[in-house]
Amino acid sequence: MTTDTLRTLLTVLVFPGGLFAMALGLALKGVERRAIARLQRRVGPPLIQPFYDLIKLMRKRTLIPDTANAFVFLAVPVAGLASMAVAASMIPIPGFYEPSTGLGNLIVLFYLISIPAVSLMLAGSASGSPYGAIGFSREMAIVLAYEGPILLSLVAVALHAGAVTGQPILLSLTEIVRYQQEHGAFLFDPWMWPALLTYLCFIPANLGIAPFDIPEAESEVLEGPLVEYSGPPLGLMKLMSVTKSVVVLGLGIALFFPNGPAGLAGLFIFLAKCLVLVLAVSVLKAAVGRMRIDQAVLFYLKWPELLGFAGLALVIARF
Amino acid sequence: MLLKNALFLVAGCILAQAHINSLDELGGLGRKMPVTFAVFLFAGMSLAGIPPLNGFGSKLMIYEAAFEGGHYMLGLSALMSSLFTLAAILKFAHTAFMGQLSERASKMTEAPMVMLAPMLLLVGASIAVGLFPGLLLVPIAHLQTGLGLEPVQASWLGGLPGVSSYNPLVMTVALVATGLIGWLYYRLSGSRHVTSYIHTGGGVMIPNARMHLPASALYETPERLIRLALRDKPQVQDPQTESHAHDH
Repeated sequence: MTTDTLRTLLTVLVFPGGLFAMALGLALKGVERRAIARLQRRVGPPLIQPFYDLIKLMRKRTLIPDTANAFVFLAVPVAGLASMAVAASMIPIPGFYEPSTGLGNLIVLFYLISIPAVSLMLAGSASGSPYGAIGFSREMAIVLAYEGPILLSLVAVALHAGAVTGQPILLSLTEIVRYQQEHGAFLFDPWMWPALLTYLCFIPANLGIAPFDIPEAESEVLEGPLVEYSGPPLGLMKLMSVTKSVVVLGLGIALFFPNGPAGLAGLFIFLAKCLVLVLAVSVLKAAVGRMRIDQAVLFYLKWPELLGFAGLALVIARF
Repeated sequence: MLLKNALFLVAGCILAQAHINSLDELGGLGRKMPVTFAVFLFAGMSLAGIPPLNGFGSKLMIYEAAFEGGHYMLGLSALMSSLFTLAAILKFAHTAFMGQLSERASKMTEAPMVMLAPMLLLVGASIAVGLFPGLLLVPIAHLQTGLGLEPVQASWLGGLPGVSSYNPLVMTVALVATGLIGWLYYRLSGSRHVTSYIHTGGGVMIPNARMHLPASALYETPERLIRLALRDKPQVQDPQTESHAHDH
């Protein structure tokens, strides 16, 4: 019991949750900024610029609006970051790390992934700024739009993994990864492609990447929920969003293409996959402009939703 | 049950302080009634199924049972419905407790202790059962064995029965431990807190009521889409006539 608890604590605090996930997220953010700069023919910041930013924000004063609910305003970045650090420790790194079981399964992970969005909404609401409130309203709209498709995608994968292993549904991420390592990745199974596409559609909306960075649109609502944030709370907000990118990309890798060698090489393969995904995301970010909120919501309710249902129907029809 | 009751009591507290009949008359109450707000936020978040709070554990068992039993669509709808709970809770939290103080709200004070105590009791019970589901499960298992039924899997410190090995105690400890990272960041920074005015883009002397986004203005996009799907007349005016209305 105690060694188990200690191991769990180590995994959420140091590796692969906590500090490791945060550092990886910051490094990936650096890569993303540099890649976008190169695509726009700029030199771009150094790769460790996000680390510098974090230290810089730490040394600034904390401005709290007089209309803000100070406790909620300061607490939500901490809660969002904590949820992401724990979520990162629940993602298996194939051949290298298996999450401890006490933290739960895919459904728990799904709920943890939605906490940063809740944090952002509460932050915008608590700041007392009308820009923050508009950002909160937009965030809720887009969450309502993308949550359906991502659920359909997750359930399709879990049902498929369950069917091939002779259970009603397989919700353990560790076992989904293990099955794919033995029998080939879902990425190469055409029946799973609708679910995969749905997941890919979910990534930009969840990470707030163009064309779906509507709640935090700088030019219209001054970064929405973040408008009143400054100094250390802003640093934590940024840290939360980069850690979330590690979690969301890592979950995608675990669900569809976890294959890799055992041992330390497995970790490097995992990092390489993250890097490829981040580069793809940068290209998307640099290539497109921002949608309007109603366009984005309508888009998610149409295409990814349809793809999600198609993916689920294929999985159910197949067995 | 614990949470719903707590929410009813919160509504009662607000009503006892001001006899209002529309959410839009409130605003900024969080600073006037901090304890009531804390209870509301806890019960609301728990009801929306934010782990590791109490409401999440029961939701998790329902989802797993639905999926295990092959009722995928029921499970999916249940998962989606908790999102709508969240939307409702956040809307209430924003309109009543956050933002600028409304005229009515500025005269309100924290509810008396006799009204706070029952709410805090319910929250305490919810935290206890949320952290240690064994508190209820072990007596239930004893009763079941007494009646000759197959008992549920339960131990005092253990997690929830079911396919997942989710243990709310482990999750809470993990979240608190990682929360310390953020707390440490605040501590290490030693940043000075300064009270500031909100950014208004240069506007000055805007009355409070105009700065607070009312309940009816939140979630416009989903509302419009639902009306569209139901072929209802859109309640939201198109931008041109609306801007006309503001001009006059």
